[in-house]
Amino acid sequence: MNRHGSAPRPGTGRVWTPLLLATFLIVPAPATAQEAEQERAPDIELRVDGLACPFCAQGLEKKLMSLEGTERVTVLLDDSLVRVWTLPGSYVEDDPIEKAVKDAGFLLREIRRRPPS
Amino acid sequence: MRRAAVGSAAIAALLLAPVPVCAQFGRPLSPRALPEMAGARNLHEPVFGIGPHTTWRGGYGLEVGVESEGDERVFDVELLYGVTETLTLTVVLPFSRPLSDGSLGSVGLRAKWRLWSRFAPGLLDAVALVGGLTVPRSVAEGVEQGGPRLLAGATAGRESRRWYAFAGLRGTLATESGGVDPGDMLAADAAWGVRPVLSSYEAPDLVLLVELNARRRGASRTGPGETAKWNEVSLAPAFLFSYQNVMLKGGLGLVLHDSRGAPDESSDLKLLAAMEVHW
Repeated sequence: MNRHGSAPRPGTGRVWTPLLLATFLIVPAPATAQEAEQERAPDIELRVDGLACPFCAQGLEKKLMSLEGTERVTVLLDDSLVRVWTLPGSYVEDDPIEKAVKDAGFLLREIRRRPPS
Repeated sequence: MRRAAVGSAAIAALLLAPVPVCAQFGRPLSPRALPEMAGARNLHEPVFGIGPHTTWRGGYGLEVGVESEGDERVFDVELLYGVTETLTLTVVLPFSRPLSDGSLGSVGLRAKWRLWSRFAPGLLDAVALVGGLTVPRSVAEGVEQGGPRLLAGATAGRESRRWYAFAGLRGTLATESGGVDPGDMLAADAAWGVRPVLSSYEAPDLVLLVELNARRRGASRTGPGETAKWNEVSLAPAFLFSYQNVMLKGGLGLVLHDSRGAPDESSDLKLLAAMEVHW
């Protein structure tokens, strides 16, 4: 008997408990702001020749990160691609990008920018 | 910041570690290839030979290493600076005696100019010239050999995601000082390397190398009436292991041919271990 005077239906708890657990496991947790930021498409994509090893590419990341407006850089060695995220409202010109790649000891082939949304 | 802290801690550990000492303290070092050929490797290059790599413009590097041949040890420190992306200057501080002795083996300045490059996706071919000057600074008798030495050489290399290949030719021109003439040296090096796993940018990276190193020493005089010439060929498996801006490298040189006849048993092996940090 519960406090309302009615008896619980047999088996109710056995049904709801696994369902609740499954809900926690299946429903994705709300994305944090950082995760949402990481999922954002890169603002600039560079095709860079000469990228062969991670150690040597450190200089390229350093040079690109030193540009004003750069937020994050990742290097995809197997694709000869460098992805650049810029700070909201920032725009990094082509010339400093080209110089940064050259100063790092590599050759810039192409700059692709994400079309404004 | 964390990278820099880890790098600094590792460097401090190496610097504070006991420095291997010459087993026969006070004995003049024999005129082998070791002192002037130590500390010539940087970045993704052969550890016993040389390659055409230069660091980025405005980039700094620090390398500490120990090279051993028989009962001789050289502990060297190199500081690199990228004047431009094709010109790297290196200050060399090899220590051929324990620091407590108060003596430095030599100081040196080396320059490498990458005069030609060809870029392709995941591939870099390059040719570079090297030059330098090594000046003995030791005050301990017998520690250093002769006067200043000039270094000149050329090197070419191919670096790809999977394969590496290098070749180099360099020579040192030795000058006499205090009745000691270590003799001129000619070194020819070739190396092949492979990256067994094509690691991503963020992951640790391993490159395995096989090096073939030939040395030819001209006439030398290290004591009254003592002269020597010799040729030597060695084969060396080596590795480069890097994570972000820190690289560990090492190699084991096996002497295949030595014109000095039967070498003493301890000189058949050359060992090298070094750590390099760039920022």
